[in-house]
Parts: sequence; C-alpha cells; structure tokens
Amino acid sequence: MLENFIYGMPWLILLLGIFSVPLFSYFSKSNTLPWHVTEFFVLASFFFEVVFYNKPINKQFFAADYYTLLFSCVIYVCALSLLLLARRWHSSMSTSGTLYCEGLLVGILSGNILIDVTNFAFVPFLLCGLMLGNYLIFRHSDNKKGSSFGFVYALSCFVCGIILILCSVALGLDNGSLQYTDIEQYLLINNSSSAAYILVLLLVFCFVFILGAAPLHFWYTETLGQTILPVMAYFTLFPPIVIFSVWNRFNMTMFMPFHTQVGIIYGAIALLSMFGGALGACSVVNIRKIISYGSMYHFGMMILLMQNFKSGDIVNLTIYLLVFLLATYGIMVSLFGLKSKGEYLFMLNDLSGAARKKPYVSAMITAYLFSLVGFPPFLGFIGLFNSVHNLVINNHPYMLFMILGTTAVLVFAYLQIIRTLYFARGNTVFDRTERGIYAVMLFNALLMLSVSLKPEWLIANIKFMTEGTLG
Amino acid sequence: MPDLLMIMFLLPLIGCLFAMLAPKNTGNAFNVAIFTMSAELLMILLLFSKIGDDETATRHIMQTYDWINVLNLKISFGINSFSLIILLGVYLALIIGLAGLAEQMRKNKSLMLVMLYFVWTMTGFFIADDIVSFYIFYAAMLLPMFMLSGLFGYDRNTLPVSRFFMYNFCGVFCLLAAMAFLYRFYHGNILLENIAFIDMNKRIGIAVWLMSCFAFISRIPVWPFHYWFSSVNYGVKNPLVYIVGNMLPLTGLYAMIRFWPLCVPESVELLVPFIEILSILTMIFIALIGFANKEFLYKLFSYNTVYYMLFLLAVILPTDTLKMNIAYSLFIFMIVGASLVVLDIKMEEKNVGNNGNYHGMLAYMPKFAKVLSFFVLIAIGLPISSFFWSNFVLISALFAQNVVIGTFVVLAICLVATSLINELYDMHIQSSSVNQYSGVTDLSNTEVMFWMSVISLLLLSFFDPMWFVF
Repeated sequence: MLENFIYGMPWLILLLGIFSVPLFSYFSKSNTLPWHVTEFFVLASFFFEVVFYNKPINKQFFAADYYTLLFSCVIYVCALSLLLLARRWHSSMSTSGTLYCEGLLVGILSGNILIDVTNFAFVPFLLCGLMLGNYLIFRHSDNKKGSSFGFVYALSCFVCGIILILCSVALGLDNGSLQYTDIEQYLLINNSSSAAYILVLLLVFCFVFILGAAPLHFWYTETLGQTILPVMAYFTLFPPIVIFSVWNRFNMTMFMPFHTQVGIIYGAIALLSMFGGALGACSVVNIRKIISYGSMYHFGMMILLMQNFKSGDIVNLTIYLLVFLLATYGIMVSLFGLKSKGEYLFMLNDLSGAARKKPYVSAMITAYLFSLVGFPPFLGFIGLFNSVHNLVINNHPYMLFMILGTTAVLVFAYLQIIRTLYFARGNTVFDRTERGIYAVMLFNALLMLSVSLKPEWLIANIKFMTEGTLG
Repeated sequence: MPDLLMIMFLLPLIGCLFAMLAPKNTGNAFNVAIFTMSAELLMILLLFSKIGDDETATRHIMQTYDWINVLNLKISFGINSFSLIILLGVYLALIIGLAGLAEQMRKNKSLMLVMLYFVWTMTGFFIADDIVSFYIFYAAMLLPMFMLSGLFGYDRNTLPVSRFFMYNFCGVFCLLAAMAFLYRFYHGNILLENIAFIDMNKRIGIAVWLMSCFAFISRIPVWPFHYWFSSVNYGVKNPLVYIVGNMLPLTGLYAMIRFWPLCVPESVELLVPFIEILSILTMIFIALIGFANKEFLYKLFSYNTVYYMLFLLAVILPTDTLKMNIAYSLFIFMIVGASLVVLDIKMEEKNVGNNGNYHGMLAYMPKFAKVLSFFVLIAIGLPISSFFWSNFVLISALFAQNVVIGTFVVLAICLVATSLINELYDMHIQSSSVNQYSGVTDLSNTEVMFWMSVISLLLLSFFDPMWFVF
C-alpha cells in the first residue's frame, strides 16, 4: 500500500498543486506567487516521475516503461516551458494567472495518467479532465470572444465526455473487461460489428476534436487567433503530446483489428487537415492564425504517419512531433519578443519591417518557419524526410505528391510572414525584448542545431524507447 | 586532404560567425567576407595541387560522415577537378561582386552574413557526393538567395522574388520525392554516380527522372520556366545580388551534369528530344529579345541565358569527354558575367543623373571603356581566352550530333554577340554634348589594376585553362 502511495507521488503532488494554487492566490497579494507555486509542484512531480519511471502505481491498470517515461518527460518539459513564457506575459501585463496555472496542472495530471493507463474505464474521465484543463485555460483568456468560444468548447467537451462514458459502459457490460488487450481481443472477434466500429470512430473523432484537426477544427484556428499568447502556446503545444501518445497506444492495441478501415479514415482526416491548414494559413493576415492553421496542417501530417499501424510509424511520428514542438515553441518565444507599447503584436501589418529593429528575433522566426516545412538544413528536414520516406516505403506515391503540394501551399503562407518581417516597410516602434526571451530563444536554437548536426541521438533513442515497448 | 576539404566546407560558416559578431555600420564584416573568400581560394588551389589537373571524371572521395546510422544514412563529400574549377569560378565571381559593391553596401553586415551563408551552401553543394547531402545543399541555397534578392536587390516590389522562391521550392520538392524513391530502391543513401545503375521498374524510372529533370530545369531558364530568371535579375541595383542570381542556373546545370547518366537508360531517353527542343526555342527567343532590347543589363541576361542553354545541350550529349570543356567554359563564363555586371552597375552609379548609357564613353571614360571592351570581347568568344577553345569544342560536338541543333545554336550565339558588340560601337559614337559628362570620373588606378589582374587571369587561360595548377 505504502509502496503504491510512493509510486503515485507524481500524481499526488500535482493534485496537491491543484488545490494549493487557488489558496496561495487567495491569501497572497503577489501576482507571481501562483506561478512559483505551480513551478514548484510541476518540478517536484517531474522529479518523482523520473525516479519511479518503471514503477507503476498498479500493474493491472497502469504501465510504466520507456514509452511512458518519454512522453511524460516531454509533457513536463513542455509544461515548464509554457509556465516560463506565461509567467513573463502575466508579469508584463500585471495580471493574475491562477486559472492558467490551474488549467495547466489539471492538464498535466490528466495527460500523465492517460499516458500510463492501460484500462479503458479511466480513459473517458481522463479525457474529460484534459478537456477541463483546456477549458480552464480558455476561461483564463480575457478576450470576450475567446470566452464565448470557451463556452462552445465546454459544451462540445461535455457531449464528447458523455458519449465516451456511454461507450465505456456499453463495452464494459458486453465484454466484462476494459483492459486494452482484452478490448483488442473483443474487437478482433467482433470486427464485423458496426457497433464496435462506431466505438473506434468515436474515439478517433474525440482525439481529432481535442487536437483541433479537420473536420472538427471549428473551435481551434479562429479562437487561437484571438486568445492571448500563453493560451495559444498551450493549445498548440500541450494537447498534441498527450493525444498522440495515447493514440499511438490505441493504434497498437484497441484499433489494430480495424486497421484497414481506420487507416482510410486517418488518411481522409489527414488530407483534410493538411489541405484546410495550408489553404487557411494562406487566407489570413493574423500571424497567430497562420501558426494555428499551420499546426492543423502538421497534425494532419502526424495523423497520416499513423495510418499504416506499424511500430516504425510511432518512431516517425514521435520524431515529427518533437521537431514540431521545438520549432513551434521557438516561434512562440519569438512572438513574445515582438511587443509594441506593451501590447503583443499579432497582425502581419504590425510586424512590417521588424527585421530592421529586431534582427535576431526575425531571424529565429524565419529559421523556425523553414524548419516547420522541412526545409534543409534545419531540423525539420529530418521529420519531413522520415515522413516522405515512410510514404514511399508503404507505397503511397499519390499521398506523397499531395503532401508535397500542400507543403508548398503552406510555404507560401509562411513566406507571407517572412516577407512582412524583412521586405515590408513599417513604422512600428518595438519595445525592448527581455534578455530572458533571448536566452530561451538561444537555448532552443542551440538545441535544434545540436540535434540537426547529430540526429542519430534523437532517432536512436526514440526508436529504443518506443519500438521496444509498443512495437 | 580530407581535412582541407572540411576546412574549405566550414570556413564560410566560421566567417558567418565572425561577421555576426562584427560591429554595425563598419567595414569589418566586409573584411571578414573578403578574407574568407580569399582563404577559400587558397584552399581550392591547395586541393588542386593535391589532386593535380586529373581530367578524369573520377571523384576523389575524401570524407564520409555517419549522420543517421538507424536510417543507414552516411554523408559523403568528395571533389574532382571538374567540380573544383567550377567552384573556383564561383568564388572568383563572388569576389568580383564584393569588389563591385558600393561603399554603403560594404558596411551592411546582414548582406555579408547572408552572402557567406550562401557561399557555405554552394561549397556544400559542389562537394556533395551522395543524394541526401546533394539535396540538402541544393535546397538550402534557396534561402540565402531569397534573402539576398529580397533585401538587397531592389527598391521596388519584392513579389517576383517570392514567386521565384515558390517556383524553385516546387523544384526542390520534386527532387525530394525523387530522392525518396531512389532511397527506397537502393535501401539507403546512394552516391550520385551510382544513380543510373539502380534497378527500378520502367514507370518508376520515368517518374524519378522526370521529377529530377523538372527539379534541375526549374533552375535553368528554359522556356516555359525562364520567366523567373528575367524577373529576378531585371532591375537589380546590387552587383552581388545579380551575380548570385546568375549562379542559380549554374546549380541546375551542375546538378544535370552530376545526375545525367552517360549510358542513358530507356526512361531518360524519352526526355532528351523535349529538352533539346525547349532549349533551342529558348535560345532563339531570348537572343532575339536581347537583340531588340536597349538596356545592357537585359542584353547580359539574354547572353547568360543563351550560354546556359548551350551548356545544357552539351550536357545531354551522350559523351563524357566534354565535361572538362564545359567546366572550363563555365569558369570563364562566371568571371566574365560577373565582371560585366559589376562594370555596368558601376557605370550607372558614376553616371547618376546623366542618363547613364554607353554613348561616347570612350571620350569621357576611356579606361572604363577599354576594360569593358576587353570583357565583351572575351564574352563573345574571341580567341583571347579558353572560352574560345572550349566553346569551339562544344559547338563542334553539337554539330556532330545534329546539324540543325548546331545551326540554331550558332545563330543564337551570333545574335547575342551582335547585341553586345553593338554596345562597343555605341562607345565610339560621339555624343552631341560630351561636356555634360565632364563631372563623371573614370576608373581609379587601383580599379584599373584590379580589372587588369582579372583580364590577365582570363588571357592566361588561353594557353592553358588550368595554368594555376602546380
């Protein structure tokens, strides 16, 4: 019992954090205290997660292996990076970020348990937890339109949650066990059953909804274009880590019996997201919307990488995801460095000629954008090359040309940003960029550079950590 | 020797670092660029001394780097006299471009930084020996090219630069797709010279070769893909940007040379007549445009296009013996093209407010006129440099292959030569009011010395194209 309690420390600490942060916020006048408290709890939880990486709280319901360790670490690092940026944003605006901290802690807790869990009974509740975290962060946005979108999001989440719980109950009553492996056996026997197929599809669309990929992207791009920068950073970076880690596990277990049918659905979702993302990015002049549409495109690309249901795909997907996270985080940090009269800029016109006044920030944005589209010699090339290679090996030449076509469209959208930064003339007076932002930017760039020089380190470790456990 | 190659490869990056640290609005970054380029020249001469003037097509593989073992991805670098002499031409052209920069531009740190990055990608491209590294540098050079053209090339709308980038980007993606197929059939990275021997089925073979050809031809101004070349180069006020823009077709041509197999497979054979017809059409069409146009820069564009077409036709001839002739021609072609554009832009700068043209220039800028005349004479292929010999061999080979093609090629070359000579004639025409140019300064003695050394380099090549190899 005590052993289980100790192994559950990472989650307990996060739970404690969820209750403590509002209390600290209530009793303290300082705006920064909730941030420091949250950082403390996240760091402490991270520490115990790494120490007990191979010790599950309960072997029957939870897994603890290299795969869970990899994604848990990515979640913690991402959360800490988001906290770092969000704290700076709030301190510059002199506002409280309690709701953001709460949302993030709820998200980390749900995400972490989701990665570890091997029993479907927990999944609907944990997904609801993740969506609750997302909703809290939505509410945190002070923008009225953002808040109204938050209501739509909450309503959709509620419907989603109810459906998932009903599915779980129905499955439990029919099969008796809700372990992933048992459900896989059940679906293998009932693979002609349309009810089973609908269950799988519902789960897939639930993931698609949380990600904000097409066709359920109605809440994603428009909202993120208008919310505050920390909220946008959260939605672009955090949910994909959790969702893809869980999705991978489902693909290797529960979804396997339907791999032919679901593979086609994946292909359709991927192409829709890629086309929608690339074309959408071309049609807007708000840099945040361009990045959001771009993210939608990248989610499509990642979904496409899963369609063959092979263990090698997990490696390719993880590589692509990590490259995406690094590059997108780099862009977010750079956007934090572009401020005028205390306001963070997001319209392309406001950024005209930024390269003259902010050469390093502009250079970083350019490098990250090119990295996102897989342009050599930037790190993104590894991700794109892996994906293209994967498609050719799996005999999808037409898909390959579609990817290249949509990427070219996305490049055009990103080129808009670069043209504005470098070639346009503008009168915007930029505020001084904080040294901390430069430091984070430099660290991120050095990390990307070192991985570009020796990607073997990244690929071999991911291969070892994922294929060995899920493969 | 491998160390020399790596030093040559890394030097521009080190130069970038120094240029980045240089203070703003001083000539320090320019000095770093000049120093880096000179060091690169020295490296090339050292490499030449190591491999000698070995004119065979064999590549001296010097460096293999395990990049991603999991994917069986090894990066190979190598060099031979063919690549080295073209690289030497590129470096010299860039040095000429740097020398031709206006004082204000020399203090521009960003220009030097992007230029050195471009040099790095070019160096990597010419020493790349396998398909992956070749692709990486083939694509990577687009970014500095885009930045150079957009930031320092124009005072006007930069939309053509974006279009040019997008267009070339599509070409790059075609190469990526072709590379992915080759990678699959070879089960790993492959050396460029082995590509023709990969056993692919006919349909995939045609697809791969079509994609590669599109990727390379997209950079060579062949009709209907020629538009970007003129739109990007037209109106450029910075000689370095023009020279860099003019190097992009060179990369496409070089890529064709590296890819195009000597024993043409069936799938490639299909493409030959199309390339020949398109090249001839472009040559005649652009030569006529240049002939009709009055601007020297446009004539120069027409000249460059026609000669690139000539080299392209020579590349697809089923023989390996012309390779070094193409390299000798390209070497002179790069230097002459760079010199002419620098001189033209310099002349425009000196003639600011005086309707800059060549009328009566011999009277008020005699030194300038003489230097320009020399370069025009070399450019049109008079027997004063190795350009004459090499072109003679190339054109003879084209005639031997197909008389009709040979005739059209000679016709186009004559047209561009006539349009350039016309400029020389203009220099002699006494303008009605020579006095209006009284304030215009001629070349300084230092400038004359610089140009004379470039001319000497070209003249010496008449006796031995590789006279600098000891």
